[in-house]
Amino acid sequence: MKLRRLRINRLPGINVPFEIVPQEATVHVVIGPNGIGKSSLCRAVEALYWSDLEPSQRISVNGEFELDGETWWAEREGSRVRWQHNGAESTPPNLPASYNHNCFFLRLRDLIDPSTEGTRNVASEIRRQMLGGFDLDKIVSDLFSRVGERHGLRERKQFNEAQLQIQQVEGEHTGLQRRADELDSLKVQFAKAESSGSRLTHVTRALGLAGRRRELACVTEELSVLPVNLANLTGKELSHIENYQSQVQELSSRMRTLEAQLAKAGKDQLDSGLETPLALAQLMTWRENAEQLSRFEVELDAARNEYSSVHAELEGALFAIGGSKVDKVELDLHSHSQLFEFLRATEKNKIGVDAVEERLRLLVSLDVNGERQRALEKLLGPIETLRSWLRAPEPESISGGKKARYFWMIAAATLFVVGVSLALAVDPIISVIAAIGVGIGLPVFLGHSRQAGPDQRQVAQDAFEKSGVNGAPVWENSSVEECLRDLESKAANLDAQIKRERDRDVDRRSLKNKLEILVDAQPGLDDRRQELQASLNLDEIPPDAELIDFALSLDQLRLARSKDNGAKGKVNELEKRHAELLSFMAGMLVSHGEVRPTDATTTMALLNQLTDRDAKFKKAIADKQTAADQLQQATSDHDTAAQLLAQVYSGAGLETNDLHGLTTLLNSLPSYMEQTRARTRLETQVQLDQAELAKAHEGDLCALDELALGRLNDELSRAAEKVNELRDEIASINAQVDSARSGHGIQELIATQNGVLTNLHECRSEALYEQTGRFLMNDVEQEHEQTQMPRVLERARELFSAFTHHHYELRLGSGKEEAKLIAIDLQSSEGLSLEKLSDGTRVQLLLAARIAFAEDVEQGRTLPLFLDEALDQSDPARFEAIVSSLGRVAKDQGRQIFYLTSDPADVGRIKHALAMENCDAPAVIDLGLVRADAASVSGPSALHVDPRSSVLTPNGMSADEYGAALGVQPLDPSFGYAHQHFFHLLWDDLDLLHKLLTHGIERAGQWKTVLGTALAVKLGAHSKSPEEIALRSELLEIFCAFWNQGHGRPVDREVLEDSCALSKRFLDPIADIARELDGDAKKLLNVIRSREDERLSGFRTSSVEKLEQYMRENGYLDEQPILDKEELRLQALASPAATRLPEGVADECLNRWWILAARTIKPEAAKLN
Amino acid sequence: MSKTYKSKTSDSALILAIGDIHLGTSCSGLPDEVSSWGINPEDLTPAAALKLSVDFAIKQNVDAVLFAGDVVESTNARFEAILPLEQSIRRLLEAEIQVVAIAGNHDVEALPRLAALIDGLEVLGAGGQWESRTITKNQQPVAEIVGWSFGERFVRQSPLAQLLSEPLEPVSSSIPRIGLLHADLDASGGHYAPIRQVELDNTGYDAWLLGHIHKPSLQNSLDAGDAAPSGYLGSLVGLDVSETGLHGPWLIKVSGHGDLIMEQVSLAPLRWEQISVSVDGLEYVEDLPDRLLAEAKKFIRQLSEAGSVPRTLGLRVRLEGASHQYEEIRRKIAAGDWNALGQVIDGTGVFFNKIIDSMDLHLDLMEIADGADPAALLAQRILSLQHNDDRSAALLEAARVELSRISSKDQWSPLRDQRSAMDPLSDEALREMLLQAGKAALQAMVSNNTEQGSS
Repeated sequence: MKLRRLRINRLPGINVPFEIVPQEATVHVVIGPNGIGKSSLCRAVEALYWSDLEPSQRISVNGEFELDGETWWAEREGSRVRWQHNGAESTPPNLPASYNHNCFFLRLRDLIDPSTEGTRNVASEIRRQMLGGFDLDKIVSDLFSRVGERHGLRERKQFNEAQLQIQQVEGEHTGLQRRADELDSLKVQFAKAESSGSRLTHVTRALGLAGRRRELACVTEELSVLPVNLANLTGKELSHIENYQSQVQELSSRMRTLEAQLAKAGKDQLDSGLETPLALAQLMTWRENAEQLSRFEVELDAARNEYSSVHAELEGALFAIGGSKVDKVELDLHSHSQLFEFLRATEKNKIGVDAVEERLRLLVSLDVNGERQRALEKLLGPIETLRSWLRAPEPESISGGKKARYFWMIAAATLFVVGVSLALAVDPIISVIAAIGVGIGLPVFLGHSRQAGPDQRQVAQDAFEKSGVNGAPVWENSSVEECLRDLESKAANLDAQIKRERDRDVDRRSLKNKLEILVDAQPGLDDRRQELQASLNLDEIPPDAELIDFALSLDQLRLARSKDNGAKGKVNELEKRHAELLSFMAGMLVSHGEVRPTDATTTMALLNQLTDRDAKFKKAIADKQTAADQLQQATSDHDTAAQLLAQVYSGAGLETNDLHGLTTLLNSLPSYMEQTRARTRLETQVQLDQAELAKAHEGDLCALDELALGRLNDELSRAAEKVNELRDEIASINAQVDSARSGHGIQELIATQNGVLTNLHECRSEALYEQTGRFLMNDVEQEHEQTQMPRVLERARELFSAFTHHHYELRLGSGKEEAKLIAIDLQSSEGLSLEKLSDGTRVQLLLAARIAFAEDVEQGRTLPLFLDEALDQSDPARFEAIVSSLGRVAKDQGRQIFYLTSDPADVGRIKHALAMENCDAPAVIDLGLVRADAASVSGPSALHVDPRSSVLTPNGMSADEYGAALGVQPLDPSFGYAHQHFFHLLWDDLDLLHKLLTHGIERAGQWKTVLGTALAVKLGAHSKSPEEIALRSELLEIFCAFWNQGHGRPVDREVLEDSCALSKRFLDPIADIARELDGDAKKLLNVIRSREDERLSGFRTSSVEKLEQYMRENGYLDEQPILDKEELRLQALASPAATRLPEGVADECLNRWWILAARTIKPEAAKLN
Repeated sequence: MSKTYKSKTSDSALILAIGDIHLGTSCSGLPDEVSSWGINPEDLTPAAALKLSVDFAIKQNVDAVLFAGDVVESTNARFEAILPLEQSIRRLLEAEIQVVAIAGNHDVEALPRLAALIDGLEVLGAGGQWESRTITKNQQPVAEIVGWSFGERFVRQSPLAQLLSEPLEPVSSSIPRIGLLHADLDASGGHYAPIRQVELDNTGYDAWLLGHIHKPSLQNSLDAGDAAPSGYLGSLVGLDVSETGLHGPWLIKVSGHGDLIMEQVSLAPLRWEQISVSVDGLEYVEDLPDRLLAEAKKFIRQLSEAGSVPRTLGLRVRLEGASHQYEEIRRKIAAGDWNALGQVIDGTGVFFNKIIDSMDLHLDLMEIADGADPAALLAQRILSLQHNDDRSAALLEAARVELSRISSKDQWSPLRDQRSAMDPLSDEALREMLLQAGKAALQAMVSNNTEQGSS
């Protein structure tokens, strides 16, 4: 696809539209100063290709392309991309994915600064370029390289620790379980020991029993020799005898005393004069009667005194009403009320008469025979006249009213007429206006009719003057009104006076009537007085004032008489009861031998005397009884004491009063008592022991003697001592079991372990995930390398080799490192890691890789390449080489290449380089001229290209001479075949060798990059074909391999480090040892294993094994046998390369190489033979 | 659980069958946040699950409780695990519930020892000899349980061979025979009594209740309508995140006619689940936690409708779908930004055990694959893995070889002995890892190159 036209209307930074039209040439140099818009061309084309690139909305570009002879047109407006194919709307052509854009748009920074880390990781960048710009290493690094080899070790350690803890606790539990399992056995032992302890008690008891039996026998024997009667003695017999004798004497004396007391009590009984004792209740009753009698006498005295006093009062009251005559009149209560009622009526009548007369006196008539009435009537006429005058209208107001009335009448008429007219002409509803006119006019008219008539004021004025009232006013409103008020005031006064006079007259008549009634009642009262006088049997009725006092005296008399009667009755009653009681008491006293009493005092005295006699009588009886009882008791006690005394002697088997015999016996009694108690105690104990032993089913022990029991006791004591020990142990086990059962120790440890396992699982997942990612990316990369990369790599190698004039070969490394690409310096066969390349070479390499990949992904569409100052870092020779290569690319593929530069000298250099490659001259687009109408190029500058170095020609020199002249390094198979100088391959064809050297092909390894190229064909056109040269190269490779067999690659510090088998501590010392052993892996391992070197103290065996494995896997440790010359020759001759070479060539080569190699290296003596 | 499964006057019998309990352990993977939600982690242990089951058995007045082995964890089988087991069994016996157990490989010591301590606990098949017990109700036999116990930790032969060669005489032909066995079903060998399904079928028993595998499978047999259902009862509570789904004891109703009706009872206080959450349309990465919680809530409601809401729910989330925020989401997942995500939803504590990236790329894989560059090659592999075609098999095999060096490292050896150990190099695991790594790499490849273009 070729760009035919590109128009940029708008881009960020481009505001003035411009357009470029590429020419037919394939290579275009777009020149222009910085900022003119060269890079915008790239962005514009990218924006047309891929809508997901160039996110800016400020974009408007279009372009025309040619693809397979057909025209495609594309337009980008904002985010929208539109394509037309041959003038019709179309989908875009099948372009590579947008992420491949870097393959077609190469900027200087892409090549110079391929990564954010500068040029440090160039190998990855090369690979990235060949992978289409995908930085798989970075992706792997970012996504899948976060955990290391040791990931999970910490968690594993934690797991081990947790597991160890669990095992420890589990072990403890196992031990505890074992002990718990022994519990039954321990309990049996415990029971046995406890049983032994229990039997020990019985044996001890049995031992005691045996001893006690022995003791009992001794006591029994001693008792048998003592008197039998001692059994009846207590040892207190002498004391008892003395006591009893004393009691007998004492009781005899007492009996005599009591008999005397008995006689005296009988005499006192007779002296009391009573035959039977008096009852206490009876005495109490009598004493109360005597006291009552005394109280009667006191009351009687008081009643008599009261009667005297009341009688005196009665006499006073009689005296108050006239002496004893009145005393005969029986004034009762009814008489008193009549008297008092009469007194109240008389008084009331008298007071009423006085009050009425007083009021009549005050109500003297003031009336002057109707004079006020007439004066009032005279005033009423003028008053009415003046009011009429005032009600009549004024003459002036009539005139004003007429005017106003006329105005309203006219207005009403106007409204009427207008209303009617409009109603007729416009709308009947307007007749409302006419109605309003009627409404106004009618009241005015009627008001006028009412006011018409004669002058009423004049009529009133005349009438007033005729009334004759003085003080006619000036006939004006104010004067008339004042006059009217004056007359009305006078009339009101007169009217009020007339009304008051009428009221007094009514009162007067009423009082007179009342007075007449009171006066009429007086005769009745007088009659009543007479009646009272007669009924009260009074000589005369005193005046009313005295009559009141009389009535009160009568009342007091009545009260006094009543009291007198009461007092007299009370005296009589008391006298009667006193006499009765005194009589009773007198009878009683006389009956008991006392004299008759006269009053209460003598009664009480006699009663006291009787009481004393009764007391004496009772005491005598009691004393008599007491003395009799005591005498009987004393007699009994006396007999008992005498009897006991006799028993003491008889109990000892002695005659009564045999005190000597008793004394003798008693001397032996203490010993007897002691022996007896001992025997009793022992017998009891023996019985108890036997019973207890029988109860414990140990009755057999009773039959054993003390010796046997002693032995048994010792045996059981030893067993019993274990009881506590076993009890403690059982309790301890139970406590531990309970604690373990209720604990969660292992459960928590398991939880911890599970947590660690979870973490470990996570670690493994992470490690596997990352390894999965690495595997996947590696798989992708491998497939790409196998399917795409060979093409890309081959093309990149071809381009790179061409760009570098075959000084370098791009090769895949054999190590396991991520960056497998290495650049082989074909002159030195040195494999350079890419970061060791110069900047220029690196740019060449990157460019080669990028172009190779671009060719791959465009899949025949051959998109234009844009190189934005991509070659600035190249020196002239490299520049020429690259441009030549690009020229060939453009020419061979018909690919447009746009080289964007601000250096005008580049135009000349490009032209020169293209011319050298027989390519068309480039087209120049001066963007400065396009955009600013100012040419950017002042003119091509001279292009200087460094000449290639010349190679010495053979000029008839022998092979050895020529080799020496070239300074060829000796053949050293240990460096591998690629490193060997081509001289060793073509020593027999020095001209061909010279040609190869002229083209920069110096090392055997370079041929692989040349083979298959035009150069190989060109070089092979001489004496030896390219294939034969290749076969010789292969044979040399086989020779070197066989030569090196059994030697192993040398080990150095880097190898040791890569093995990951050594810790930092041992890395340096072992590297030193390796160096001392010339890198011999076998010797190194022997030294390490021997542990004789002090530097290896503490080195672990497992690390040795790991190191050995690494060395074996990576060729540092070669266990194969070392080949001698013949063996090597035979095996090498059997190789395909040897068989395909012309006859004898292989043998000759092998022989020569063996000799040369043997000169260089010191082969082992045995093998050289 | 308010559901009542039978009335006391019913003629039918109820048997509660309990699978692996592993007393003496706790469930792993619980975050610390659980405690702050007012949930005691002790209430989520196997011991707590057993207590709930015993409560249930007593409440439902079941006639017997069966234990299918691995009642305790062998590491902790001597004391700590015994106490809750002993208490539970005593409670059952006090409630006059028959207790029949077999010993699994974990409790070869513990269970016989406990049986010697507790009168009434019947351990069948001690010493590796088949044995039967009759379950009775009202002194009438209702079912026969035939069982076999591990006599030692490892048993490499099928115990069914003995049963088939020396069959036990049935107690009665009118009552169902239920086999109770702790074994490794359809294993190609191994140390844990490997048996085959055909052996179970050949016994002619009415049902086989198995222990050993923690994932319940009995329901599969029931769903398949097997005449003689057989399968694993599963662990009583999910012991780690790998033990997803419904866990709990099985209630077996033995009808008066001898028919067996089995139903798993959702009693596990802790439930693990794996759910998928789509990131489609996710505009801001900060919205993802809300989306996760919303999905969790939705799931809780589904469980609620099914009547099986656990006390705590541990979720492993698989992010699916495509989002522009692909790389940011991956970064946050890797950084563990959402590790502490969780909350109490409708009374259930929900936490997110792990968030797994299974997102699709926001790229047209088919378009990218239509080429030969590395991106295309990678896209081709991803598509191949997704389609599981022949090429993916080769890729898996190659990856397995490559990863075997890593996976066989000594430091991972404890993972091989894990209870829920899975082959990290199985096809499924490898495919998952390859897809995950491939997508991440492809996204990075395209992004990096596009960024370069943009710059």
